[in-house]
This record gives sequence, structure tokens and C-alpha cells, in this order.
Amino acid sequence: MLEKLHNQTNELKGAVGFDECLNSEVVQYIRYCVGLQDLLIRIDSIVQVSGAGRITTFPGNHQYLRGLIVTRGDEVTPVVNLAEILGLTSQKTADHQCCLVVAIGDERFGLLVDSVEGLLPIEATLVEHSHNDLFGGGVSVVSGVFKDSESVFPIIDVKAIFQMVFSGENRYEHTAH
Amino acid sequence: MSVELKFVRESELEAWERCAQQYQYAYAFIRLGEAGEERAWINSFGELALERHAEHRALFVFFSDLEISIVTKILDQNVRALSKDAAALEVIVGAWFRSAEDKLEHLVLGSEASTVEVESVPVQKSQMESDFFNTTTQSESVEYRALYETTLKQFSHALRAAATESETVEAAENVYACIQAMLNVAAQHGFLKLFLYLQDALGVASEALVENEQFDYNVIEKLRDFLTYTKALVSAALTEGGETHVSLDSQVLFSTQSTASSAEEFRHSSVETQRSFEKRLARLAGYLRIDVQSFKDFGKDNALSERGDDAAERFEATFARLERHTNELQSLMSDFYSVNLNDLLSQSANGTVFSRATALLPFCCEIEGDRVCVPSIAVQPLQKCIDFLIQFLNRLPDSFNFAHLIEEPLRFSLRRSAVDFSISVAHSNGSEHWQMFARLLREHLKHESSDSRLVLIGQPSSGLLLKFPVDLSISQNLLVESAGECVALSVRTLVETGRVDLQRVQKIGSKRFVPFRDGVIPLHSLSQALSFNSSRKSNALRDFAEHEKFVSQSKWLDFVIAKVSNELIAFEVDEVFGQREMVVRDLNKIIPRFSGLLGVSVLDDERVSLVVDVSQLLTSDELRRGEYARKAS
Repeated sequence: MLEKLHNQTNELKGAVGFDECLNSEVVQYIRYCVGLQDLLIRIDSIVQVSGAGRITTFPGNHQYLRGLIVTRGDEVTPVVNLAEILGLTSQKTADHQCCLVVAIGDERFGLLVDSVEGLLPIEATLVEHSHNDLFGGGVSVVSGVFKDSESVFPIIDVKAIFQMVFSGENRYEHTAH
Repeated sequence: MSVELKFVRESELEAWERCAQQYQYAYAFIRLGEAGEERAWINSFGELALERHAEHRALFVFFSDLEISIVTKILDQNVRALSKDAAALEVIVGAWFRSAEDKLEHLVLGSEASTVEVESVPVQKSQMESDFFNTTTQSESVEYRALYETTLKQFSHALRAAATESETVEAAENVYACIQAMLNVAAQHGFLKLFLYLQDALGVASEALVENEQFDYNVIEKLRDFLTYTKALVSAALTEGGETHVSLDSQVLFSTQSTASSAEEFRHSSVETQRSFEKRLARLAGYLRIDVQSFKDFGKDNALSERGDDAAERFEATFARLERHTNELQSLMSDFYSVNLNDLLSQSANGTVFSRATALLPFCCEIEGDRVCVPSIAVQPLQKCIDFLIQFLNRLPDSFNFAHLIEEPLRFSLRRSAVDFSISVAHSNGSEHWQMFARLLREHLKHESSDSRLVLIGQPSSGLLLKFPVDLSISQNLLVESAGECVALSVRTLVETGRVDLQRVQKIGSKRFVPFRDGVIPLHSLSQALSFNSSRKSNALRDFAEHEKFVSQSKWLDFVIAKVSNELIAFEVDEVFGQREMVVRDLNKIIPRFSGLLGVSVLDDERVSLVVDVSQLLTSDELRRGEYARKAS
């Protein structure tokens, strides 16, 4: 399924014209699941979709940082447990989960999700904003919501997750032994 | 003479057995062989013995007149046997050198002579050289040279193995002497790869001497000689022109026809040499430091300095000698690592910036003049530091007197993961002025750190410490498994690994102890120290429970022992995989830092392994209390 998704992504970016899609205010989202919840993420923030593979646990107590994985052969990328952030319960074991590698500027990190369902083109005007506290607990990682006749799709704000997990205070060790 | 030869020929097996048992007799026998008439027979006899007497055929190297190809063959098949008999090895090397050296000497002279002839300069050859060229063509000399180098390589393998396996001081000393002789030959004839290999072997031999607790401190002097060799060789090789005889695999690299690619290859090799040497020196320095420390402790425990008798005097003398050698080694390392700060500054700075940069010089000079002692791996971080400070200085108002603010020079220190630069406060100056400087520096750091990954540690009242992470390094690590994770432990602070029956683990309250030598040492759990337990959540919980079940069923406990603050601490691990040289990457800059975590490494199966210095895992409080309150809560 992931390969198919890759191909679809590439086709969309290349042959169909990814930029044109953006200009015509139809934005491509990737639809994925965490627990029983369907979620969306903008495709332009995704760098890679892969299986979670073997995650190396990171030492210390980090609430959301699940561990480290190798992407693209030799890049060591931190992986964030999205279920933990959203307060959801994952339905799959780590071996069967997927990793969405996202980029914020030069920084990359992975989001651990249960499954990737496919692409969903949405007109920008259909996205409702200011649903920040959708998951309660003051967690503000949702940039908007898309509703169709059957369900509601929260759209995850990658920048907000980045701020939450990798905020400046956590970046460096401030005490020397 | 003929009678003895006949005797050997008729009952060669029995004779050979006796020869093998009595080196002296064998040697006499060889001298007979060297008389010359029976060369063909000696060769065939050598081959025969090679087939029939595996355990003693190494002695055939005594036949220094044997064809070199046969010698090579013998050595190739007897490396292990040779390595166990250092005394025989020394004799063999010596005897063989005497013969082969003469031959090679002619070859080298011959090569020079032929080169000069090309340039149409008449050369006055000696009678010996003329004889040699009458019978040997240039291609033969190249072939001989190649064979010579190959044979030397076989010797090197044997010597290195002998160095590793030497169990007595005498054996270690013999091997050391042999390696040194070989080094001289390799340097003299420019066998670079062999030279590099022997350098490693010399290091192994030095360590063998140390491990036998009879470390000859003159080894420092020998290392100094060796360093001189290395430098001379490298500088000679890097000098364009055909005057040198530096070769790689018997091919002369630096002649008038030397190519850019061969020069590049050599440069690469010389960098490798430097790195390897760097590691070796660091290890030796480590040994010496341990010695000095143990002497200090011994003196303190026995109050020797207060006694004033002979024992105290001897102690003082030995202690002084140790300190002197440590200092010598450190100066040796400084010499080797030193880089020209002016060069760095000129690369970093341009135009108007440079005038500010030169103001830094007095603060960067730990050693002579404008040269600063920094390991090669730290050159890049140093460059970053200088860039950073230059930019910072440029932002300061012109009236700001940087020079008067700092009491001591900017100091560098290298750790595995970072290069530290500390700035201490000038007490004579007002704290207000200093705080302003610190604030500006912090602001600048905040502004710049997104790219340069600098870390500012410390308080304005006590000075500032800038930390520059090293991007990439290669280090020797011990690969272990803990809580299902593969963890690489830096061997720098590890003392030993061990395994103990679980029933022998003693429990006192919540603390555990393992027996070690004559006493017991505290046992900590590596997985707890790394907080693996608490960080594993949801999906991983199942795996972890299975792992715990597996561990609880085990009857043995594996542990590694590390030296932490001069105390031995054991860390429980699930399995010890062994040592491995690994490329250690700096942590991605967004990944949170964890005390003791030096970096990460990607394993063969594309897993990420954490590279950890166990000595930094526990704080002094934790060591005292044996708790993990800070990390596990």
C-alpha cells in the first residue's frame, strides 16, 4: 500500500502538476488513522512515508518522543508518537505502524501513525479553521477541520507538533556534570 | 662440513628434530648452508620440511640464503607458530635482515643509479653495484623489492600477533625490539603501508608492556623517534620531486613521474596514519594517567610523603618520573595536534573582520606562539568557534574592551562529543561589565545557534563555557544489549566486562553488588540508568514484558565495569556483543540532549544504536545513593 501511495504522490507531484493544484486552491492531503480517528496532513509537509520499522528507544523521559529510526539509508530521524500527543489509543503494534516523515525547514522528524489511507484533495475554502482544542486538554495541534457527509477529519499542524516536542528548552543540555 | 651435510641429508627427519630443539645447532647448520655450494639442495630441503614438519618449519627462515619466495611461503604458513616464540622471532628477524638488507641496499642504489643515467649524468658505480647490475635487470629488482615487502608484511603479521599474545615482560620486550627494527627498515625503504601497519603493531606492543606492569617508560622516547619518522616520511612524501623513495605496495609514488592521484592517495594514507597515531597516543596517555593516579592514591593511603625514609624517597622519585613521562607524552600529543591558528583565522576572517580576529589570538594560545593544541577532529569545531566569536566581536560596540574583560586565555578541551571553550571572569573587573558581556554573548548565541549548534553552559558569575559538538567521529565501542536495545558503550571509561552467577549477586537493601577480584562493587542497571523502562510505552510494553521474562529466566548476569570518579561501578547488561569501531554521528540538533549520550551510530541492519559514555550516566548523588530519582521519576 505504501508503495502505491508513493507512486501516487510522485505522479501527483510530477505529471499532474503539484504546484498547479496549490494555485487552484485545491490542496492535497494525506489521510491516515491513529486509533479509530481519521486524520489529515498537508502533503507538502511530507518528505517520506515508510513503515515504522525498528525504533530505537531514546533515553530519558520524553513524553512524546518515541525514539529514533533510520530514514533514507543513513539519516537518523526522531519519531514522535502522535497517538500520545492526541490522547488516542493506538490499535497497532509498532511493527505494523507507519511513519510519516515531515519537514519543518531543514529539520525532519517522523510521526507514528497506525495506517495511511490515501490522498484526499480538498478545496481550501472547505477547511474550517480554529478548532484548536478539538482533542481537549489544551492541546493545540490541529490547524483546521474538514467535514464531509460522513465524518470529520482534523488536520494536524506539523509546526505546532514541532514546537511542542522539540521546543527550545529541550534542545540542549543545560547542566554540566 | 660435507660430513655434517651428508648426515642431515641421509637422516634428515631426525636431524631436523634435533635442530628444532636446539636453536644454536640449527644456526650452525645454517651457517654451513650459507657457505654457498649447496644452495639448490637447501631450497629443496626447505620445501620438504615445509611439507613434513609443520611445527618447526618456521626455523627454516634461518636459511637466510633461501629463495625469498620460499621464505615468504614459510612465513605465510607459520605466522601463528612464530608469534608464540618471541625469542625465535627476534633471531629470525635479525638473521634474515642481515642477508636481505644487503641485497635490497644494492637494489635501492641500483634504482638511483638508473634514474641518474636517464638524466645523462655519469655515475661512478662501485664494483659491488656493477656486479649486481650485471646480473640483475631493473624488472628483477622491482620483483625482488615486492617480494621483500611481502615478506616484511608476513613478519609484521607475526609480530603483531606476538605482541597481542605476549604473556611475559621478556616476550613483550623482544617483540617490541623486533617491531622497532622493522619500523626502521620500513621507514628507510619507504614501505608506507607496512610502516602504517607496524606503527599499529608498535602501539600494541607498547600496550602489552604496560599490561605486563613493567612498562618501559623509555617507550615515550621511542615514540618520539617514531613520530619524527612519521613526520619526516609524510613531509618527504608531500614534497614534490623524485628525491624520495616513498612507495605504496612496491611502487614508488614520489618520483619525477608521480601523478596527482598517487599523491592524493598518499595524503589520504598519511591522514589515516595521523588518526591512528592519535588514538594510540591517547590510550598510552590514559595508561600513564592511571599510573600517576594510582601512585598518588598509594602515597596518600600510606602517608609516604610524611615518613621521609628510603621508601618515601623511592616513591617520590618514581612518582616524579611518571609525571615527567606523562608531561612528555602530552607535549608529544600537543606537537602532533597543533594547528596554526593564524591560518584558521585567515580562513575565517576577511578584511575588516580580521583586525578583530587577531585580538582573539592572545586568548587562544595555550601553547607556543600562535599555535594552538587541538586534535584534528576538533579543527572544524574550532573553525566554527572562531567564526562565531569573530561575528560576536564585530557586534560589540567599539568602546567595549574585550581584552580587559577576560582574565585567562580561552581554553579548549576535547571530549568525545564536543569541544569546550571556557572563558573565565577577570575578578579585577566589575561584574556589571562582565554581565553585560555575558548577556550580549547569550543573545548572539541565541541568534546564531540555529545553524552553528553551539551550547552555552555556565553562569556569568563563574565564567562561560561554549560547547561545540563534533559532527562525526570514529571510535571504539563495546556493543551490548540492554532492555532489547543495542547500545554502544564508549570503551574509554570501561575497565572490564564480566559474567557472574545470579546467585552470587549480593543485595543490601535496594542496592546490589557483584563480586569483583577480592571485593565487591556496586551494580547498576544500564537500562534504568538510560531510563529505558519508563520511556517505553504502549506498544513497546509487550516486547519489554517478554524481554523481562527472558531475563528473569537467565541464570547468569552480564555486566560491564566502568571507572566513574575513580570508583569502579558495574552496569548490568543483557548481552555483550564485543568491541567494534563505529562511526559516531552527532545527534540531530532537534533531538534533546541526554547526559552521557555521545551520539548515535547506524548498525549494519539499519538500526540506530545509541553511543553512551557510562561514566556520565550517573550523577554523584546517584552514585552515592544508588538511585535514579532524577531520570526515572
